[in-house]
Amino acid sequence: MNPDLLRGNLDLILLSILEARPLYGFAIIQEARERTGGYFDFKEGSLYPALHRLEADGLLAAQLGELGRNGKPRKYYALTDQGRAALREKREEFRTFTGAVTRLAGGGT
Amino acid sequence: MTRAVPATPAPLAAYLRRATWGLPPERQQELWDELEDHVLTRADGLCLSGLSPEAALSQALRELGPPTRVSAGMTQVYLMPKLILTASAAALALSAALYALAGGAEGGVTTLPVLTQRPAKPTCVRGTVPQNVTVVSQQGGVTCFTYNDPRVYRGVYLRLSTLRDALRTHGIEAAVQPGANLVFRLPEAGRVVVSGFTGSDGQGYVSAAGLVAAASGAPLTLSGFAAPVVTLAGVPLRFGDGQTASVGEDFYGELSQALVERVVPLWDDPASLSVTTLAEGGFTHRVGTGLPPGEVVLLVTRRTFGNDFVTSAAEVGADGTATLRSSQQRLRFVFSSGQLSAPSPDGSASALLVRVTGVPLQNLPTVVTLPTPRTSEGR
Repeated sequence: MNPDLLRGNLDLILLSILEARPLYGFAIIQEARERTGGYFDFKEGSLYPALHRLEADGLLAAQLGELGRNGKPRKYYALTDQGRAALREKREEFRTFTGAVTRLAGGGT
Repeated sequence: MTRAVPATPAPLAAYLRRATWGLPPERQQELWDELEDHVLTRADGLCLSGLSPEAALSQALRELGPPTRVSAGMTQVYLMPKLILTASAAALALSAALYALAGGAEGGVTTLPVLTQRPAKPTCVRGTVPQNVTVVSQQGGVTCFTYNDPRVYRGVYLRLSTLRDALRTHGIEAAVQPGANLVFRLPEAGRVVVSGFTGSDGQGYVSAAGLVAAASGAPLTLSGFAAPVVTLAGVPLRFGDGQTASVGEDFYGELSQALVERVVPLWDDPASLSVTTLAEGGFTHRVGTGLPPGEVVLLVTRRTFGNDFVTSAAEVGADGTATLRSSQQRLRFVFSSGQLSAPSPDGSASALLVRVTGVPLQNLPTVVTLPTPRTSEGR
């Protein structure tokens, strides 16, 4: 897929994945791949700065979970109330945008 | 039940250091733990699919992407609001600067082994065979030979696979492609293709100067003479250890053409540029550079009217002087490439002395050094 599309919608994608349950970094990537049939196969290195940014903005909160492969507690990211509100806004924004693009491209019904 | 936790493998530790450089200590540890768990978990999965532990770790690191990307992204999150930096390129520069402040010398410079003789395959010709060669084979009118004079093969050569591995340890995506090409991607300069050649041992090679010329679109700084260091988009690579042999003369000699292209506005047809490096013969000029010891200067003179230049490179000594060669006995130093004229009939010539180390290569035209005195009588 076009990496610009992924970058432009990274927050929406991450918030959507974490809507159902808190997950840690590696699990987020697996979840993204599984739920999109491998369509979202982004470079993992860009994931962590995005997660930390969303956490710093108050949209995600960190929780420590089971021990990871390195013997340290895994950091799980959970959606905050502010994050849920932001997700609703971003979804609406995305629907409006894709609807407009679809109409422009002549694919509207 | 307890679980054994292995020590962090060296390539992973190097990656984590680079990815977490410059962050506040508490954030540094947090990100380190996250990335470490990520890579080890992914490597476990790859091992189950049949990869060796080393190959699995290597692939897991590749998938994570360049550590500079991670550190630049994290810098934006935690430091940008304070520093009011907005561009990601600036974040990368900041990351590199913090890396240097944090003691980048500690494992930061990667020393690459070099060959000082081109591992060339024999030259094959149909018809007349030149003199002073050793014939390797003759078949169907085609004669293959090697030159007896070792100077023909002199240079500074890097094995492509070694260079690829060195770039990867710095988090740069790199691959050797068929046809002896090395392709890598720099965070600040995009895709770089280095065209190498297949040596007599079947391995791919490239000259060190060829690498620098190919990557000239990237932020690039040179330093050192005996074992030159090229810092490419923040990645420092040293050519040779400088202990067994100095490769400076050959390295800067081969690089002269690329350096002259940057310094001198080319007249008429740029494709007609001809640069001759004077490694022996001519006149010796000892000039006071006013530069710190260890820097490298390039002397440029015009051989004739047009794009025909002669160069000589030397290291600045402890007394601030550099000993350079020129085909002209009398040199008159000028401060801009536009003043570089063809030699006079009386054997004197205008000359340009350019500092080529310790400054970004992009700034070369602005780092002309005026020696004291401004004329030199060669011996």
